[in-house]
Amino acid sequence: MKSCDVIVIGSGPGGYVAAIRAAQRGMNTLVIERWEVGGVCLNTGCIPTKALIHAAELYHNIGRAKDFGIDVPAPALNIPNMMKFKDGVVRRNKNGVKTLFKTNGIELVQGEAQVAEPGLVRVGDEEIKAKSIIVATGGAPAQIPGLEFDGKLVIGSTEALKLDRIPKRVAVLGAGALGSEFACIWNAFGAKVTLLELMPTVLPREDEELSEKLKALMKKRGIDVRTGTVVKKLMRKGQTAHLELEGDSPEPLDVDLVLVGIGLKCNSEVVEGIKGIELTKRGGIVVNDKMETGVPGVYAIGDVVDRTWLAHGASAEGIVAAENAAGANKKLDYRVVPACNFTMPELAGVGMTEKKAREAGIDVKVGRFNYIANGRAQTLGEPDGMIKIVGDAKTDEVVGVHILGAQAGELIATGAVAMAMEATADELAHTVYTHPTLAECIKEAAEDYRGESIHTPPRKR
Amino acid sequence: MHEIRMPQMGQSVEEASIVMWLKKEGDTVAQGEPIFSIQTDKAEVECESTADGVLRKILLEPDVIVPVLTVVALVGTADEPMPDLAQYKAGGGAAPQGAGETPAPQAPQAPQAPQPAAGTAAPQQPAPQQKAGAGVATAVSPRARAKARELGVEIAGITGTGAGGRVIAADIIAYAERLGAVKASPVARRLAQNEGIDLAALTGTGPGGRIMKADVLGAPKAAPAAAPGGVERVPLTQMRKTIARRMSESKYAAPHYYETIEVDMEAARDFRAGVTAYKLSYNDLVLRAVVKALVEFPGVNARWAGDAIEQVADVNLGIAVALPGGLIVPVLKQAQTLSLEQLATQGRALIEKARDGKLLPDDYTGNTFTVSNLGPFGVDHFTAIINQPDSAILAVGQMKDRPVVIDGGIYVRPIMKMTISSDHRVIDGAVAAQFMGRLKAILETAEF
Repeated sequence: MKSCDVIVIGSGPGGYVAAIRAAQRGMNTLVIERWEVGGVCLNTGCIPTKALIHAAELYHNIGRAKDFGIDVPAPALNIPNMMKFKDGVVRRNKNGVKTLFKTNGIELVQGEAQVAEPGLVRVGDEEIKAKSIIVATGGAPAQIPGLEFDGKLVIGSTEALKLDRIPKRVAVLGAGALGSEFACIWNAFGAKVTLLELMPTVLPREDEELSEKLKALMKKRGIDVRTGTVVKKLMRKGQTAHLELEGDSPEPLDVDLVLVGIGLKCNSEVVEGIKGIELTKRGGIVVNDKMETGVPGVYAIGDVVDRTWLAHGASAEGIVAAENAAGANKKLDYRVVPACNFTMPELAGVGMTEKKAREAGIDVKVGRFNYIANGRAQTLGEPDGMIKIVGDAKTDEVVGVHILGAQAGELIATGAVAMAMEATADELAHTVYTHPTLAECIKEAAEDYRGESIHTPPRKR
Repeated sequence: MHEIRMPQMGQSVEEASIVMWLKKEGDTVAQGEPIFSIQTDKAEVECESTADGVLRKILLEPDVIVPVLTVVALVGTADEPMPDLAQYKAGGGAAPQGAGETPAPQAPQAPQAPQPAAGTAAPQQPAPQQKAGAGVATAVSPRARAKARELGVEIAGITGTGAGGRVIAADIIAYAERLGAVKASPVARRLAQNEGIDLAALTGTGPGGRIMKADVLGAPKAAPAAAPGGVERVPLTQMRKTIARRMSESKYAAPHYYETIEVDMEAARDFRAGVTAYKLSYNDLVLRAVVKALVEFPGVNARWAGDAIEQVADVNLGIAVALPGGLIVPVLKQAQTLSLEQLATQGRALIEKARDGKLLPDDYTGNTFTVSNLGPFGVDHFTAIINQPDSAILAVGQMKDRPVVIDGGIYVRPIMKMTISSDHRVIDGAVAAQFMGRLKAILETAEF
């Protein structure tokens, strides 16, 4: 019987990173993948959606190129070419991961795995022994009664990425990252988009103040954003759907496409029946901060543990699991896990929202700065946005950074590094930043926190 | 050349030390002008020059105890030749510069020591903090003090390698280097500073042994090492003696009584959240409310004068500041003329000055009302001892979310308890109650 040091089940951003770290630590590593290498992120998640978002932003900017002194005829969408571009990106990334497996000496087995018992994995007819097992099987959309996918009228993100045409009217259910990003993409391409969300703000996990601003910007761009509103009933009428709603904006809707961006479940069937492994409500595998399950030698990471639901969260967990499988005793500190929603404009955050910080009893102090006052933002024609720094007045510790605006996803990295190093607002304010850049907004927000932002008019009290 | 001697303050006083020189070498002095202050075992007193001229030589440094009548300085004309100073060396006496630690922070700190009415010129001289083992004067060289100030280092806890255990500049430099070599995150440093914890004594669990916030939070507060099973005798510093004396006097002389109110700080919290142009603490808001209330209640901003009650026009607000080993009360003068921003900014500057030990006599005298806030220490409620010559003191506890009943419904509100201690000779219960009611109203309606 084949045996190895560690079997990683799943090759998404959690699994493939864990496998490579395990190999780096000298372990004989094997990866089992039942679908596509790279998992959801690479194939039907982060990567392809960002490819489409780039196309959407480009389309939007070409549409206003004359504002910058460039006269172009009205752009036309070539969906097949757009799909070719997206598929090409996915393919290149996937080949990259496969090459990394090869060069690291990691064996890749295609097939559906099942953990037969601790230390033993079955795939197809084969049984493989392993000292450690890292479960990285990810998650999937949960089908909501009444809103089940049919692949044509009611769809999930996977189908949304394969669309051969832009829908005329589309309803997006759920203004989390998925729903909000697709709403922006289709709106940019000319669809009539209605975005429905249960909570009172879009992107409910983000800082309220910024979410509200994003909602206003989305509305300005023509998206019908209806927060505090849910679908009561969906009726299929041939090629269209009629939606009965309830909540703050219950006016019924008729659309050509419904994207369901809510409902998640964890793919934990792989450990079904294994004693000692507990599951969460969503079927997530319960682990401690060392990524250990209740069974020694069995780890779990990524979406299947129902924690961050972020690719980089899965990767960070994968590193911890691999290190521990190799004999270390590492824990993951979840305090600093940034996230970016690639809406238009982007909204990113790290650490606590202002509200959460207050609820935690922190003596909250805030610094803010608006993009409109930033030189670079003006030169880019991207004046909409703001940066907010949330601090603990007792020590000026930075407990949260939130950014709405162009390049928010990139800029948040500064906030993450600052928090990881336990910086105070002083460090952010005293660093010299390049001019003219958007990053200067971080400095200004930190200076505003200290009551001395140069580019904000003084406030009299 | 005229000899200035350590005066004998009363028949029973045999020795004294200089607390601080009010003039420096080269200054012109006049007969009768105070040029130094001394600490006897009964009082702190300012001493006058017994001649006109230029202060040519200071022969005795502060904190060194000598027999009374020892020559401490020479006053003469600017160009007079200096006599042989060897004849004055013998007096140096009684102070075998204490062995071991000499921590006195670079500038002396102590609460003011008012002499009621008559008596020698209002001394108000702070006494230096001593930590020497034998209870005798310790020494920190002036260069060491200056170096400590420059490097931002606390002298407390530094062992001196100078003659007799004196802390010299080199000791400060070595300590600072050790501290600078300590790797700690900015938040950890700030926290350690706030809590008075020595970073150099901690172990770090961050990357590369860096000290992180969690390491500081987990550090045990410095506890004095007592002999196992024994009793440690901690010698009295001048500050401790002064605090002991003044607190006893106040409690004895003024009939204290107490009134407590609970203040809903929600409006104040919202107000504060809206102020981002400058740093504004909750304590600043409390001080502001106190000042406004005092303007309306001159009977509370008053003092017992024996044969009358003096109502002072200015609100000179004392702000109690905790120091390592004691406390001091810097005074924000004429607080009623300050805007909220000025009060916050100047108050903060004063407090920092107090913590750096840089207060001058003018900074800690003249109070008419004092506020003491133990909220940061997690205290809900306490009663304070009146800071003479005030007639009242306000003890402020922490702001804490509590369930309250409003119009029959239960809500969660940030509640802060405040207790006024009043001198019943000057302030009657109803007056204090009305004052507190007004204070509460100002805070609850954010009338800043």
